[in-house]
Amino acid sequence: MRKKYPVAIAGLRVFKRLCLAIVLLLPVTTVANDCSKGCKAMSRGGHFQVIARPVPDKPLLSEYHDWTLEVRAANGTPVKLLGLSVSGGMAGHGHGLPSQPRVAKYLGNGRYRLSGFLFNMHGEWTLRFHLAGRNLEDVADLKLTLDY
Amino acid sequence: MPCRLAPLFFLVILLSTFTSPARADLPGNLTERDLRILQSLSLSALGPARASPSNRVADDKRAVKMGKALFFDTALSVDGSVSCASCHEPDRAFTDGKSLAEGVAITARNTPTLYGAAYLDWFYWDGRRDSLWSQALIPFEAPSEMGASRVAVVQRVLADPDYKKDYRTLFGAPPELDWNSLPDQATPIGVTARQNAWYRLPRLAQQKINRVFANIGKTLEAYQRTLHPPETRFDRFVDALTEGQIERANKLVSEEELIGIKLYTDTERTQCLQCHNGPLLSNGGFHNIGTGRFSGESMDFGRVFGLQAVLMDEFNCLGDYSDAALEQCDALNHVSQDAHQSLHGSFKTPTLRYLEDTAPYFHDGRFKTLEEVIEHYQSPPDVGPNKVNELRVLRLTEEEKDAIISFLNMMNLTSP
Repeated sequence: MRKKYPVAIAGLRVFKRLCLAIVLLLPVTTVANDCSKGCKAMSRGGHFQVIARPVPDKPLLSEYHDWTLEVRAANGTPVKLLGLSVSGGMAGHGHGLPSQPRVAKYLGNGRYRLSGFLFNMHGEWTLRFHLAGRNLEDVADLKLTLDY
Repeated sequence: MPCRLAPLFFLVILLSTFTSPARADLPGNLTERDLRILQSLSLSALGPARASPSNRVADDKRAVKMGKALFFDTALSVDGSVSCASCHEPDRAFTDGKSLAEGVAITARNTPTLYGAAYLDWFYWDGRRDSLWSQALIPFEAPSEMGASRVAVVQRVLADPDYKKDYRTLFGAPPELDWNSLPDQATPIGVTARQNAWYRLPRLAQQKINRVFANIGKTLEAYQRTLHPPETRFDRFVDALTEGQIERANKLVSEEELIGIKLYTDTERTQCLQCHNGPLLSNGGFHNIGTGRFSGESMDFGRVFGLQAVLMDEFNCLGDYSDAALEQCDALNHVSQDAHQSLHGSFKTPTLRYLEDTAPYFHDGRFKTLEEVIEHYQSPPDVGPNKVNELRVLRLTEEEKDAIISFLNMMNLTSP
C-alpha cells in the first residue's frame, strides 16, 4: 500500500495535520461572540436553560435595543416564569450595566421580549438573568464580547 | 522532506489568515482592526442626532431661529450681563477657556462643549437632566450662572414683540395669566425669599409659568441641535484610508501621530477606547476615574446625586411638560440604579474632540494641560467611599505620552 501510493499517503498525512492545526487554532481565532446567533446557558442550579438573542441581530454600541429570551425547564419544556429581571456588567472594569433592561412583553411559549439594553464599551459583558419559577429561583449568566 | 514541512507551511498560512497583521498598504503598521477602530471614531460614522421625543419643535427651523436669539441674549440674566454664549463661546468650541465657568459668579464646574450635544442622553457632568431643553432651563435660575428666575425669563420673552411672535407661531398663544403682576424673582430654586415668592403662587399659575419656561428651553434645544461637530484633519485622514487614498492619507498624518494612533487603538496598553469611543470619542456614560471630591469646599459626588435629581425633575421626559409618550423615554425608563455601579464620584465621559479649544480639563477644570491629564492616568488616586476607581494604571514612556497627545491634537479645530 505504502509503496503503491506514496504520494496519496503523504497527502493524507498532510491533510490530517492540517485538520489538527485548524482545530488547535480555533479557540484563539474564533470571532468574539456577541450573541448575534443566540447565546445559550444553563442556570446555576440546573433548573432552567435560557437562550438569549439581541434584536434585530447584533448589539450595537451605545444604542438602546431589545433582546429576546427563551426559558425552558431542564427537560426542555417552555416555562412561563413568575418573575424575571436582568442585571450584569463588566467584571473587568468593576461596574454594572449602564442601563436597566426590563421585561417588555411575554411572547408566549416561554419567550420574553426584553427592552432597554445598552452597552457603551467594547469588551466582555456579563448578563445575569434572575429567574423565578413556582417554588424555585435561579440565575443564569451569559457572557458576550463586543469587538470592532 | 517537503512533505514534513507542509503542515508547518499551512500553519503559518492559517495564522496569518486569522490574526490581524499589519496591512502593507496602510501607514504606520496599521492593521485591519485598527482601521475598523479608526473608522468608528471618524465623523463619517456619526449618524443622525438622537431623536428628542420630549420636544416636538426640536428640529423646527423657526425654533432654531428663536433659540439662537435667546442663546445670545444677555437680558435674560439677573443683571443683563451674561447669556448662554458667555460660557459657551462659539469661537472656543462653545466653551470658555476657564477652569470653572463664570456667570454672574464663579460656578463649581467646568463648561463642556456643545458640539455633539444632540447625541447625548444625559446632560451636566452628573447627568442631572435628560434632555437639552430641560438642561437649558437650569442656568437661567442658577445663582452663579444667570441668576434670574423663571418668572423673569418668561416675562422678558413675552414682553418682546419678536420673541412673542415666534412663540405664538411655535406654541400658540401663551396661557392666560396676568404676567406683569407676578413677582419677578419667584423661583423654586435659590434663596428662601425667592422660593417663598414661588410657593405662594397658586399651583395653576406655577404650571402656566412652567409651560412657557419649558417651551423657551425647547427652542434653545432646537438651536443647540444644529451645532454639528466640525470635521478635523483626523476625519479627513480616516476618510482617505477608507477610500484607499493612501498617498493622501500619508500627507495628513505624521510619524508621531501614527504612533499615538497605534497606542490609542491598543486596548491592552491604554484602554482609552473603553470610555472614549464612537465618533464623539465619548460613550456618554458615567465613570469613576478617581476625580470625585467627598469633603471640603469643592465637594462633588457626581452621578450619585445627578441620578436622584433627574428622577425628581419636573421637566424630565416623563413629566407634565414633555411631549413624549411614556414609552419613548428610553433613557429614563431604563436608567440604571444598579448598586454595583460606582456612582459615587463618577462623571460623564467628555469628548476628546477639540481639546485645544476646550481646556482646562475634567469636571472641575483641575488640569490645564493634556500632559497633566495623562499623568493622572499614569497614577490615578483611589478616592471615594469605597476607595476604588475604574482605571487600570497606565504605563507610558515620555515619547509615548507625546505621541498620544499628538494624535489627540489631530482633532483640534485649528489642526492644519
